[in-house]
Amino acid sequence: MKIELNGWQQAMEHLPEGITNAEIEAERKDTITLTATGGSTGSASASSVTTLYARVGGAVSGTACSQDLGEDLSRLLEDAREAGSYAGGGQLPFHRKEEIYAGGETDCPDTSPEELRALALELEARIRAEEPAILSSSVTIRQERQAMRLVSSEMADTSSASRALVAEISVQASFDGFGCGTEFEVTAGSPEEFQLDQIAKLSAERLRLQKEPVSFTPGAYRVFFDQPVMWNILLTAWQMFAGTNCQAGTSCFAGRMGEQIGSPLVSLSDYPSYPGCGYRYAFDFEGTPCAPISLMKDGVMTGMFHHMGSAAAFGEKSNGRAGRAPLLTSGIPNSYTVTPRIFLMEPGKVSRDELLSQLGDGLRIIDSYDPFHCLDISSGHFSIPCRGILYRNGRPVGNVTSIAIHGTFEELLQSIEGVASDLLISPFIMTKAYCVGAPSVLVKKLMVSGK
Amino acid sequence: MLTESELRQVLDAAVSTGGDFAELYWEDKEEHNIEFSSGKVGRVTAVRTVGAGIHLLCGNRSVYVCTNDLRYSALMEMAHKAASLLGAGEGNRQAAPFTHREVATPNPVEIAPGTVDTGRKIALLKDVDRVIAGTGGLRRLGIGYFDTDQRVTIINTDGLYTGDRRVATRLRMSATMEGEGGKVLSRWGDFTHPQGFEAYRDMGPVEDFAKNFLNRMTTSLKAEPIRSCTVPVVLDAGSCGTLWHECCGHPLEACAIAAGSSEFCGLLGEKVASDKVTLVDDGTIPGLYGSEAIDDEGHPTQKNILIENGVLKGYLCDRLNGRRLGMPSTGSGRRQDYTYAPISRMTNTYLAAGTDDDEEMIRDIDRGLFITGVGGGSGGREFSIEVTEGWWIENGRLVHPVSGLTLNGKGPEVIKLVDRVGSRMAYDYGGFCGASSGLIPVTSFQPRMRVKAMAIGGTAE
Repeated sequence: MKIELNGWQQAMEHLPEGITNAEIEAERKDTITLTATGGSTGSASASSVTTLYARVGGAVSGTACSQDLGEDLSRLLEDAREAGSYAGGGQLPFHRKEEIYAGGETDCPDTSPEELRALALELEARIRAEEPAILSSSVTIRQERQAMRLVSSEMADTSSASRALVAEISVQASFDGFGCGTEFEVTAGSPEEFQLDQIAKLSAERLRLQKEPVSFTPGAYRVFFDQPVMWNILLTAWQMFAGTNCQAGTSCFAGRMGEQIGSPLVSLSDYPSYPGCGYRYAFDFEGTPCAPISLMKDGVMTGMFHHMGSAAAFGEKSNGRAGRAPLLTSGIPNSYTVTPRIFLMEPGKVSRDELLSQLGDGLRIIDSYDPFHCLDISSGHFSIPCRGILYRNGRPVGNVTSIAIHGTFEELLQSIEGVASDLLISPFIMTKAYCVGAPSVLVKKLMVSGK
Repeated sequence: MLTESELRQVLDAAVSTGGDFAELYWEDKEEHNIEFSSGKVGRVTAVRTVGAGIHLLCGNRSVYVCTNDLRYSALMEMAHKAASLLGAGEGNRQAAPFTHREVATPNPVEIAPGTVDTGRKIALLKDVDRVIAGTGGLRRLGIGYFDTDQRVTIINTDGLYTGDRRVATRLRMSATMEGEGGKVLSRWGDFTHPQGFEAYRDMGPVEDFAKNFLNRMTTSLKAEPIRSCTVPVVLDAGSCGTLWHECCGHPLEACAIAAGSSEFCGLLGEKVASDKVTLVDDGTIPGLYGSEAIDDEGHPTQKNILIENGVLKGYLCDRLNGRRLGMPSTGSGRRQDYTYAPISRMTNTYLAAGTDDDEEMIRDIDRGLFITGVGGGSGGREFSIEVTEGWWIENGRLVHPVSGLTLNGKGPEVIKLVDRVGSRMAYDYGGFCGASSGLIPVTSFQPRMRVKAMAIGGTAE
């Protein structure tokens, strides 16, 4: 799956005037999806998109990006130089050739559409068989083959390629007239890694947990977060560990390195690859190899996400997390920032059910909504809408909806009394730019509002 | 761009295995981004997005393929791939001869952003920065400039050949502010215009937006938490219309109805809201961020009445999900770009004006909440909206700003409790709505209105 960059050496040998360093990075993503619904083949899709990014430095520093594959690479470098001529004079950092990721892999597996379709049909059938109350269900199997290639004016030429599979599950059911649904995603590195029965059971369980709500008294509760709730929080909370935010003082964890922030049960990490997760990230767009990072170890803040610029501000070396803001910048992500790769809370040793048995009297939060607007990175405050189940003496006594949990992220981390082993990793919604993983957790006390 | 003959061959190849309809969406978009913070210009980036997507239908099934390799051979390969993925059998359909159709844009452009020198755009950022940079408590201020000039061409096997040009400019203000006692707040806001650079001919509106953005943050930093309660809630005119986007708009999209995931399934023609509620989605309104000449399937945008005097009248339909429901397209098939298949989405969604008095809505309340600013939210079987600015009401008067609130509930329950709708409409700058066909520009607005009882999740103990 090598990306063709015709004429790159020539472009690098004749850099725009005043430019002494240049890189072109190409990213190609080939995706195929097959959907099964109601026992039949449903919709399908396929795409192949290559994006070219240029960075130049010297008298000026600038960037440009294009999906025009007919564009001359020298023109792209010139566009970057021109953009840089307006910029504020800051220099872009560049690696020496020997510092750039030294791999060169271009092969990655490819499963045929027929096999993917068969997998979707098999999983969809098992899900329907698991719960008779299901009204409609669909399973989409998505194969993403991603390749990166980076070339530089020092004639570095490095590549990587990987393949991820994702199962997207969407199920609607009715229990005695009460309508409910669930949607979630599971990743794997190969078709054989999907645990079909386990996914089917998880779908059915998530449906059965939803029931007509009873009335609710707001206040402080002992709380159990099911896995999706912690996942939703981590989806935004990683930004607190961004070196760029800590440098700018806009993270509530700025200046807290080495401090005990969370409970000793909490460890947060970011990996370039992880068992069971199909996604794999060899190097970032500055060419830095992606190393595993410990962000919080036993409750102590131990690291940040860095690109070359933010690392230099802390006197450190980049850990390979240069990224492009995935949303709300432009059609092609291009805003220079740091992003995680596979960010997760390290799982504990107890099963989810064992941990849930320790809830006693409290509230089990089974789902939450809208992670993007509910957590303030600078203060750490969150106010997250969700739904759950009241427990008394360890037994469920009624469902509650339209409730919200409140507090700060730091208070939440401090209050964690147990971490389950049920880690589930899913890609970031929409752009799939990175992955987040979370287990279920038991929380000593949290404010919960609602009716 | 390929010749018409080549384009027809691509469509014919797509339907060669039994597809009954194929559409080709061709996009060429130029964008310009400038970062500006702490009084300095940051990165300046030119972005070019080009590509094409083929949407193939066979009854209620669909295949979508896309690529940014725009050579004839590559598009033929993708068309054959689509046909292969459909795998229906033999097809004998051929694309009908093209008929060119032009639809006038509701948002004409005077000064295309690409014709404006980058230095002028930077001068604009400096002007805005100068107006607000000295605001007390400001820890960090960033202003981002974004413009986009998108040209789309849409052709299909029914013989349609049409296109649209969508131009927009946007300033994103992002700030971190510190209040008394070290309380810190980060927020962002977009000043959007579906126009070219003429949007900044008069600097008054953008300066007002910028000052107002920071003033609202200052107010929020003084806000007090309240206890959870069930009280009347007044939502002010303008962008508080996000409530309708989340609690009704998403559940009324045909994709949600066809999937059976909406609380409004099977309720067409039935009373679903109070008599005061008439809800409209209209992509034709000049000057609004969600307006376009045509949707991304080439269907002219139109005014769609979703709820009329409390009765459910219609859904927002794209071609495929309209088929699934046995309904025609409502000009609602939208997508971020060629990498997404079109799906039913909102445009400009609003609560129609009523006849009630704005002041009486508050004066009439003993204890309640007046919401003047909302952030983003989410929709589905339950909706949620972040409240960014609100006031506690006691004995008909605004007492103090409130903080830490989220509105959430079930749409069909909330809209039955609307007991006042004001007569003065206010619009919304608009923003982005994210769903399965990507991020698209929308607005949602309303006159001031009141819900007679709503559960409020407060944080005070």
